[in-house]
Amino acid sequence: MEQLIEYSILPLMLFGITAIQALGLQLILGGAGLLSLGHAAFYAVGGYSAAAFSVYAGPALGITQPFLLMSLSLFVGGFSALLAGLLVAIPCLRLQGDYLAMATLGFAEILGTALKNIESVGGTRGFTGIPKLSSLAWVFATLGAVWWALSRFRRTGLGMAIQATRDDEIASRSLGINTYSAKLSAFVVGSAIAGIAGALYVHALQFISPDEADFSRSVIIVLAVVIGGMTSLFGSVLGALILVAVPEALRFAPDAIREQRMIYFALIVIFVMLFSPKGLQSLLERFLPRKKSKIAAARGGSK
Amino acid sequence: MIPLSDRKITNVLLKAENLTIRFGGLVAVQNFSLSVPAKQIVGLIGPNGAGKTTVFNLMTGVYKPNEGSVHLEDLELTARGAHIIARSGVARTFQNIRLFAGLTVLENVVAAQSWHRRGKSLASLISWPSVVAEEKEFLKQAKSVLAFVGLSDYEEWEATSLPYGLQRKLEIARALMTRPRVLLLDEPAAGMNPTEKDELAELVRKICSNYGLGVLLIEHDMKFVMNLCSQITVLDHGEVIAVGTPSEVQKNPKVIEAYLGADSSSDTSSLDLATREKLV
Amino acid sequence: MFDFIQYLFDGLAVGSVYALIALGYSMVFGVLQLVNFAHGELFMVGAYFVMYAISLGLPWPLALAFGMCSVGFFAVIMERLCYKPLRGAGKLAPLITAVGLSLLLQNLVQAILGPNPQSYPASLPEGYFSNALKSIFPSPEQIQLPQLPEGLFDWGEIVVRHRDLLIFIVAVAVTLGLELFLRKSRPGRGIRALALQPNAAKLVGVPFDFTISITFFIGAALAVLAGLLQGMADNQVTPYMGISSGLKAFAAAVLGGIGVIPGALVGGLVLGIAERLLVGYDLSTYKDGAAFFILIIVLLLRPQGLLGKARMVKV
Repeated sequence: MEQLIEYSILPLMLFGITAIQALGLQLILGGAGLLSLGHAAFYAVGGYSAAAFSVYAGPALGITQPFLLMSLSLFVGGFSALLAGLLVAIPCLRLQGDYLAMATLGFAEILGTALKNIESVGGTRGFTGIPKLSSLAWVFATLGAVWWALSRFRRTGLGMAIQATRDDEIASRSLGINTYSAKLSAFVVGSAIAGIAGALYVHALQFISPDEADFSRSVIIVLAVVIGGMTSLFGSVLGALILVAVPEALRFAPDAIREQRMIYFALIVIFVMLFSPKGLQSLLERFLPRKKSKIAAARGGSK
Repeated sequence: MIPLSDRKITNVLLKAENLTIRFGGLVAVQNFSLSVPAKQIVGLIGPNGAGKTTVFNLMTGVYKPNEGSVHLEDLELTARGAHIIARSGVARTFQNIRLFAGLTVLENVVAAQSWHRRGKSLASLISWPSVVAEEKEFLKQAKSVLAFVGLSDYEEWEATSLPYGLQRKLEIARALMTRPRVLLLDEPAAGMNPTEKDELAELVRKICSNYGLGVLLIEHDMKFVMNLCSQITVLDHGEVIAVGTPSEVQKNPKVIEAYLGADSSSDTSSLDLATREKLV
Repeated sequence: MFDFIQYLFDGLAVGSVYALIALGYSMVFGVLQLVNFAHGELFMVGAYFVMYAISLGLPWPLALAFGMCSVGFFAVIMERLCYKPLRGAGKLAPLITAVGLSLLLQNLVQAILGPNPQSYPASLPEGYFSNALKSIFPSPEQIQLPQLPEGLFDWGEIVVRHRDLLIFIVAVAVTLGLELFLRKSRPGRGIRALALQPNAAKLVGVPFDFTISITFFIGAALAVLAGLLQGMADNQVTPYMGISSGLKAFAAAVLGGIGVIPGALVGGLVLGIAERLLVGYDLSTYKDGAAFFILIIVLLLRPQGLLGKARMVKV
């Protein structure tokens, strides 16, 4: 039994961290309608800078108390990812078109190259010797806090402006909304959340390598958000659960099936976009008995 | 040059002077001038493709004019960003309704005042008491605007699931929520039945008198325009061909020719049949 | 100084390949305002297709024509099934679908043909399907490998390989041919009309779906040509070449002015030469980042690209 708990801690932690990343991307993808293909790069930015902080800066400043050091690392991780987000998004969001997706992808590529060449953070071997400050409790407390903050953020002035901008930019501008800063805010806040997830990760596994910035990692998060349902926070967490649980469940499956899981995920994403844009979450809603509100009735009746 | 009869009127709110815009070689609007006084409803009419919506786009910052200027009282709005113009007090609706499809009716209206609450997102995140009070106040305002246009029963509906006529009203409510001084309505009565049109006319009058707004509207239904507007500007091929009261405009030979002239050619697509019937 | 000129020539070949891929991005973006993220994978699939076709004994011109048609039709079907239903559903949905398609193609190829690089003459992995193919094409001993000329122009300090020049000439010829096609032919003018004014084009009778299909077909066919050239130049084809060259080609298209045909050529060449310069001046670690930096700088200074014109938004 104890062994079982031991074994399940790591997957649980990975789920929590992936869920936080997914919540960040949900704000960008579902909230603002922007596609970031470099979400993992911002996660890596957060992870590396949080690690650098607790390895180099923290001790130099005389901060050793674990709770304080971890809290500050979370802040450093989030803030550095926010700055990186600004750097990428400022030139792209001023324009019409979908340049952001490609630019974030390019940013991830550059970041990977740069990290491999910085010896003080381990170069290609990866950054090791990071103190273990994070725990399951930290991960889930952060997940809860991020969830709560995002559900509240949705209703703030900026949150409303972001959703309005997603639905119709021209109408939003005609109502006084600065669509550029709405999109920028959504993007950098989402990136900062990824950075926080990165800070949790490095202090849990005590290791990070440049591979974390890889396009394939970013794609996993996009898959999670889209498959779970990008219109809600719940959907993104559900998606994160699926993306973490499926490889775990397939651990003892034949190689052929396990290695081809990306094919199935890709097929599911295409299917979701074509037939069920609200993702699996909407399927779940259909089967779980819920209080049928006036809205649901109205929606059902009108379509 | 046509004598601008609106020069007599004082208290002009929105004023466009000599607006010109070219798309490539095509001059879409040339030398367009118009004034919207407070508490007055001004009409902008003309055959399809005359450039009416382009005029709206020039006034609201969607397009930048090549020449000319737009002022709101003494404030220069020419070529400013669309959101700056909206914040200065010029709101508009769209010919092809542009509601926020992912939001409810109430949220559509609330979103329109989101920028009033700018910079307070962090405070509202931690439920700062003054911010919570302000949020409640905004919600109350939004609900009262919805009540004003008669949409109270639909607050929780998905905006795009409303019947067509109500969608148009929601767009007006949303525009009002920005607390404008001038409201630009782009074909507000399009697709409405006669009863709905009467209700709408009543609503526009109320907006004008209750809120003291200046209203500029584009409309093809001549009965609607003639009954509602005190001043009418007629646009054809991007140029103003007549300005005056409804009765003056109706008698103007240039206007009649602009609407009926197209009849002599076989090109029916540029001619609005409904308009012609009502004008004759 | 001679080094610099030498690098300019060395960058021609890879730049030309980028240009050929960029043409597809550019055309599709011009017509649908969609970044067809899966376009790079068409290049990869094309490279494999032609390599196997040649290795099975087909003469290379036939293999190329066959590959262009097959991948071209594949792109058309892909558009009909996956993009067409999403027209009018905003920009995000088709973009995510495109990412899904890219992922699907890359992983499918990897699952069927293996993740390792392949070179000429490639042999199909064992299996029912490949046995069937081998029984149809029974004589792989007589493979006529495509030969790029191996000679050199030697001008003392500067040496130019014939094959680089040939690839460059092919790219220029294709770009000119495409420009001519778009200006003179009926379907070509349809494509230009759709890019300029979709609604007006429909009103005057441009067949919408057909024209979009043609656009995808041509884009994919050119990507296959790029795949053949790349495969011959490097003698190596991998499942991942689509994503890396795809991003660079997209950057090239934006650099030259997306939607402008000669822009793709200019952008591709500039990017290829820039990469070669970085390698030449011992900065090769940053080679793969060059595309991104160029993309950002262009977006900041001249978002419409080197040869592009600013577009008007329609309300």
